[in-house]
Amino acid sequence: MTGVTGALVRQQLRESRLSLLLWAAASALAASAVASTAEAVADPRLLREWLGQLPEEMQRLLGRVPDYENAVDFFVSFKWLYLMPLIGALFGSTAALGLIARDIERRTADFVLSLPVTRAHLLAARFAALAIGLGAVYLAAYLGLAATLWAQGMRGSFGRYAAFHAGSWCVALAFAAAALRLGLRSRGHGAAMRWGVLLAVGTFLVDVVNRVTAGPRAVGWAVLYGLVDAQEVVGRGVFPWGAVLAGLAATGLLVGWSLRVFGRMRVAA
Amino acid sequence: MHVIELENLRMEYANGRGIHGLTLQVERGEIFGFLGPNGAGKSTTIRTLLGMLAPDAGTARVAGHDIVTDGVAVRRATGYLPSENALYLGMTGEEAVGFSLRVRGCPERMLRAAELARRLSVDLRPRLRSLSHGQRQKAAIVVALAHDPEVVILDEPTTGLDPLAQEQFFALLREERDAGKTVFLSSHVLSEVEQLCKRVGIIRDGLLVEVNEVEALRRNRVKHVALTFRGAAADVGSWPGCSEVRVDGSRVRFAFHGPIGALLERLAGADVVDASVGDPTLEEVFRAFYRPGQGSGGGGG
Repeated sequence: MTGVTGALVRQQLRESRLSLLLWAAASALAASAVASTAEAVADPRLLREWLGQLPEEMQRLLGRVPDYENAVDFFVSFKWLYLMPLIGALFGSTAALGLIARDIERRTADFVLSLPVTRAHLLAARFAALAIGLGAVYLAAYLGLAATLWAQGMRGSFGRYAAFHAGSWCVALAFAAAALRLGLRSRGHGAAMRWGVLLAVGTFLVDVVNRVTAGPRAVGWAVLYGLVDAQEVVGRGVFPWGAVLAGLAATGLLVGWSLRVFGRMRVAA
Repeated sequence: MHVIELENLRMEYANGRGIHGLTLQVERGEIFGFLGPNGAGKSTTIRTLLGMLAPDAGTARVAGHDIVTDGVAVRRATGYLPSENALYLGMTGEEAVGFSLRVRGCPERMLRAAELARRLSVDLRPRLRSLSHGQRQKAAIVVALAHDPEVVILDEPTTGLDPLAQEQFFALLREERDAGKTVFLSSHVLSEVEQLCKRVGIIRDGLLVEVNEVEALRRNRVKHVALTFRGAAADVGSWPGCSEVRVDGSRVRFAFHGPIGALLERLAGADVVDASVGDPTLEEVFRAFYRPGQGSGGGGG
């Protein structure tokens, strides 16, 4: 990436590199730690017994072994994958809230806004950097998971995991875009951060409750998390087109809204 | 030719503060002083010119570009030094300059940046966080001037600079002016404006109360008067336009505001044996504008 946009994207990645590294490393380590306990799937019967002890609602949430062709896939899904959209949404939301608010708080906005670029260009470039960072977090998590499973000789459906991560990335982007819009409205970075966490976690809990209570699927779609279903993507091999399309569409709409608002915003001294 | 033109420019915050209709022109090759205390509207004017704040009314052009419809061109033609450090402290000075130059599409100007850094005696290699306040300010000056802008807008530029660095900086600004660049210098430090500027604008509560040459301001606004009376000193304090009266026996010193002819008429009937009239410093002129009830004429230019 070259030119003005490239310079803006690189600068944003540079500014957020510490949190990006922490999130990527933590995700990779967590995925690897979960995958390292996968010896349990050497005997799927044990898994089935363990799952059978759980209440019906929990079984509904986690899925059932027969839904999966592969015991490794089942293990990975119920132990880890369902958290992936939440992890991305949390990282995306908190990063997006800081895209402009941090500059205002640290007074670097005076420098950035005196550069010869439109605000739309600036914000779009920064969001592109965030999308790249979010992709890096998902890639790290995927590699941590896949490498650890592979090293143990576990034959997971790695392509399906990748598809699930891609769907989660799109959903997390939409959360980041929503947080970006919230951040332009909020006064102060700290307050905005709380709203971002509330947005990501609150909607995740709505999805969990909806799944446990066998609520309408539309509720899951409305809060976006329902668009990436591990049972469908990993268990049945369905590519999460809904998550990709709806996630990207919501992202586009919300970022466009933010560009308009930011373009008119008075950045006070 | 006017390089900076404001026509009834207005930008008001919700609390009613801001700028309330500024009209002003700055010529090419001029160092223009923009004077006012904190909160008068100096930074708001600058931020409006640079497109950080959208004006409520009026128009303004910088380097021939409208600030509302062509803000990118305005910022491309402008080098801006904010009143507080606005650079990313995690960057080195070189990275900050490089980033600014790449976004401005002129990375080859790094050589000019190096020369400016040498002139200002600042090392651009360390992270800005590790530099002293003064060194950071010098780095910010390099960032503001590195792309060789047509217009330089400086908001309280000497904050943190020691006297030697200030001299180097002023010399640099004079060179820029001699090269045909226009400098808009906002300050409340009158001595620096007095050293650098031929013309100044004085802003008060968001209104321009005076735009004039420094010398003319000194001549017209306030006079230092010392009178020695033959007997007891007259009650000068009761005369119109007289203030800051100090009586020492038959000698009286005071500041006089207004046409000097009115004072001479008064003196014609008084028994004065000695009189002297002197120009005030710019600081005294400035203070005169900020006394309650003085100078709020608005819409200077």
